[in-house]
This record gives sequence, structure tokens and C-alpha cells, in this order.
Amino acid sequence: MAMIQQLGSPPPACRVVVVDDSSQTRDTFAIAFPQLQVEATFSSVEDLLEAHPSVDLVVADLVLSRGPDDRVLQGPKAISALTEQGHRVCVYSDESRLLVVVHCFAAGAVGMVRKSEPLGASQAAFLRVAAGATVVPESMIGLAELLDRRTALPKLTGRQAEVLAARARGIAWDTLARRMGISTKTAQGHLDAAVKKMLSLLTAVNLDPSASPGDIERALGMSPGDLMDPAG
Amino acid sequence: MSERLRLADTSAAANVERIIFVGFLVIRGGVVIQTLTATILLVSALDIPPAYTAIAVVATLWSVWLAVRHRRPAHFASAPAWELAVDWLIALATIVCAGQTMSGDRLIGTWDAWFYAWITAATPTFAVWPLSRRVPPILAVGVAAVYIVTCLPSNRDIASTVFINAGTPFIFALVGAAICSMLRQLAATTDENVRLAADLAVKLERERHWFHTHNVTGLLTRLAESDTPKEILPHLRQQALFEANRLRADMDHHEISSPFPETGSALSDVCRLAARGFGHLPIDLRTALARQTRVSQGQALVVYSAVVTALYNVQFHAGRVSQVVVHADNRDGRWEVSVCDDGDGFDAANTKLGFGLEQVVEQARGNDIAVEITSAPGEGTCVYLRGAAPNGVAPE
Repeated sequence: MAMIQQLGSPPPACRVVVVDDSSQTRDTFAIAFPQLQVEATFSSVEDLLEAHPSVDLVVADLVLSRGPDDRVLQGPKAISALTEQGHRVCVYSDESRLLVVVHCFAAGAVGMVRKSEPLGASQAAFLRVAAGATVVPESMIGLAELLDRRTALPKLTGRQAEVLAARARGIAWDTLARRMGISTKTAQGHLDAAVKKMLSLLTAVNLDPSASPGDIERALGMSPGDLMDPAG
Repeated sequence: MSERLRLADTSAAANVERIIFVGFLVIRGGVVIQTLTATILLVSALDIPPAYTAIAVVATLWSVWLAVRHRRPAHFASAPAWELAVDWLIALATIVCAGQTMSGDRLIGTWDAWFYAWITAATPTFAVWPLSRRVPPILAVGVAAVYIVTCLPSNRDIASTVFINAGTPFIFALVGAAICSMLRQLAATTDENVRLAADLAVKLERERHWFHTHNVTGLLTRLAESDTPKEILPHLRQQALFEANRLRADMDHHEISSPFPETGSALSDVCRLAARGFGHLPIDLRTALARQTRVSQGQALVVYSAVVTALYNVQFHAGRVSQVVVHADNRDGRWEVSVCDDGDGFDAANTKLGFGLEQVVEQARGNDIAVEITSAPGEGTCVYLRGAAPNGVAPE
């Protein structure tokens, strides 16, 4: 799940807070990402909400509970609460299930970075999200294509649809740009526009964080089983 | 080896030669009975030209000898040409002997003239000997000429009958030669087709063996190398177990075992099954668009083999990859499966396909699937498979 979206330019420095139940992540985050100014770290979203820090970005782990009886605020509900408080939230997790990813972005997340990504790539992604860009996982490109084909997305231009179809197949940027006779940057711009339309749709449908897959599919205008397809 | 011998024994050529042998027995047996009957009648009438009786006996014994000599292996395929020469000379001898020993009025239209039945029955059987198809008509011309020379002088009043009679053995010789020639050509064509089919089966078997083993050799190499990253060893072991089971099943059943039902399979299921065992690769399966698309058992096997081969190529040849997308789609009456990686890539225009992909292209061609492989140095590799969706776009 590589990072793909790059909108905007990184600021000279950005202030972040980290929410993670792992003390190792909390203790080493500032060392791992020296270009980020870590204002504070929290083990729970409740503590962060209470502190209400003024920062550029909240980096939040998805799973924060320590057991089935530990009813802490986490996942899409936590993202939703943080977004309501005015934070930009970037999920920091290795979660790859499309349904969960959709829930996160529908709840207001503006980025998702994998913990298993190289540190340099992760830091660059955090900086871009803090600067106002959106960073979505590659698997979301497949979702965008699916939504476009189910006619759920706002109408894409021919070029946007073409780039989306190529990237959904994993075709290299250089290859598709050469085939289309445009620059790689222009091609990326077409995909950015398509992804923006998808994210607008996800937030516009105002998903209930506890909505079932069937509910989400109906809300997004998808076919039954699209999100739960074991292969897709 | 025993199977090969049985095959040769039951070849179309062998069967045709046996049919020709049986035809010879029937025709020659019939004329022998006619000849003996006529001779017995002549003996009972005490009107016996001794030389004529003698030639009847010789002709009968010769025919019996031929039948006995060739009863094993019941054909004339290896019969020498001198036998045909003798058969021809005996036919001529019957005519000459009749002409020399009987009056002219007995040579045509009487029981005494059994020699005519003999030559009429003998000329079509000239073709049983495996010589050129021109030989029997030529020999029949000789027979007809001797018949005319023998019978015409004493039957000038019915010359037309003599000439018509002379033509009959020639026509029968032509018919015999044509039938035998066509049967033999048909058998030769059939046997050639069987041989080609057998060769093809051997070739396919060999290629199947290579297909089953060439990926395994790569696996064994990776397992043997000391610098193989430890974190992928569990996946390689899992693959090795999978391949070992597949090879064992292949050896036990001696047929391509298909994990797909004859009724067809969903394209997304085929892709998912193919990607199983490659958990160490960063595979992104995007197949929801083809979840309702069904392909035949043959096409499912091709797609499965192609995706497995493409993923093995990624594993062994693509270098460092951060993403492999297995994508399936169904649009405008056509389905498409693609496997794209962001690895090293290669110069597709100037690089010969490896054995695995060559096999994929070959199998796909026989199942109405188009294959396209695109790659460029530094831009990864894509393998596309495209086919017609049954009944156009499958219903959602």
C-alpha cells in the first residue's frame, strides 16, 4: 500500500500530536521523524480531546483498546470526534481492509500512512498531509474506479477516467503518461481530481461509523458485495 | 513399448490391408468354386481336355497357396512382386490353354469357358499387391489382348462380344486398383494424423512437465541460496509445499488437475486462488469489477496459470517491488485480467519471453484469450489477458 497522493507543498515545519497505545511509538516518534515537531503524545483520544492542543496534524493509530472490555474511543468514531474538534487527522496504521479504510476517510481522515512504510516516505507523507494535501492508500484508487463504474462518483472527465483506470491497474506513471501523450505531472493532476471527487463523496454521504458493509455499499451507490468482495 | 506395438498392429494401414486380404479371399474363393464346379461338370461329361483340367488345378492350388502363405499376418503388404507375375501368368495360361484345347464355339458363353470368370475375377485382385496403381491396368491390358487373340479368330461373327468381354477384366482391374489405392491413401492419412496427434501429445506432456517444474527450480534455488531474506522463507516453504503437492497430484493422476468446475468460475475467484501462496509479495487484488463475470473451465485454467506465472516472474525477476496489482474488469462485452508490478521491467521489444509466459501465450491462444505483455526498463511489467464475456457484460 504505497502512498500516492501529493497535493500542496510541505511547510517548513509542522506541529503534530500522536495518539497511539504503544509506548514505543509514542517514545520514538520524534526521533523517527525529525522534521515533525511533536508537541505531545497521547495513549487515548479522550486525553487528546481534553487537552485540545493547537497543532497542524493529529497522527492517530486506529486500534487503541487494550482488550475487549476496554471501551475507549478509537477507529472511525475517534477520527470523527477529532475532526469535529477541528483537527486534521492522519491515520497511522497498517490496516489495509478497504471497508475500514473507507470508514476512516468517511469519518474525516485526510491521510493514511502505513507503519511499515520506510521512515523517509512516511515523514514526507505526514508533511504533505499537514500542509493540506490528501494522502490515500493505493487501494483507494481501486475503490475510486469501482465507484466511477457504479456511476456513484461525480462525472469524471475522459482524461481523469483514463488515468484512473490505468492507475487502478497499477500501470507506471511514466508508461501511462507516455501512452496518453502528457506529462507525468499532468497525469497525476488528473488522478488527484478523481480522488478528490471520491473523498467528497465519502464525506458527503455522512456515514454512521457503525454502519454495516451493506449500508455503506447502498450509501455509496455500490453493488452488493463490492466492499466485502474477498478478492477486491 | 507394448503400447507402441499395439498401436502399430491396430494402425489404419494394417486394418485396410486386412480388409483387402479378405476381399481377395472372397473374390478368389468364389472364382475357385466356379472353376472347380465347371471342371467337375466337364469330367462328368467325359469331355476333358487334360491340359485345361490341369491349369484349373494349378490355378486353384496357386490360389490356395497364396491364401495360406499370407494368412499370417493376413495381408499382402509385404508380398513380393513375383507372386503377382505368377498370378498374371496363370491368368494368361488359362486363356491360352482354353484356346488350344477347345473349339472356338465353346470359348464364349458356356460353362466350359470358366477361364473367362477366372480372368475377370483375377484382374481386380492384381491390386492387392503393394505396387504402383498403374500396374494392375497394364497387366489387365495384357490379359485382354491375349483373350482377343485367342477368341477372335474363331468367333469373328460375334467380334463385338469378344471385344466387350475383353474390356471387362480391364475395367475390373481399374476398379480394383482405384479402391485399393484410395483405401491405402486414406489409411496413410489417418495414420499420419494419429502420429501427429501422438507427437503433439508427447510435446504437450513435455511442456506440461516443464511448466510444472520450471517454477519449482526457481523456488529450490531461492531456498538453497544463503542470502535469501529470512522473512520470506516461510512463504517460500509454503510455496514449496504447494508445488510439491501439485507435482505429486500430477504424477498420481497423470492429468492436469483443475481446481475449477466444468460449469465455469467467477473471474475474481480465479484471481484470488492464483494469488494464494504469494503472501510475501505486496499484492493488491482489485477484482470486484469482475465478481459477476464467469469464464469457462478452460479459460479459468489459463487465467490461473497466467497469474501464477506472472507472480512467479515478479518474485524471481522483477527485482525490488513495492506493489503488484492484480486487476480484473468486465466492460463492453469483454473481460480483462491484468498483473502489473512496479519492479525493474525490461525491454519488451527486444527480449524473448521466458518459458512460462510462452506457455501462457500458447494456452491462451487455444482458449480464445488475447495476451499482451508490456514492459520498459524501470517502469515495471504488465501482463494483460482479454477475452469475450459470455453473453456480453455479465449481469450484476
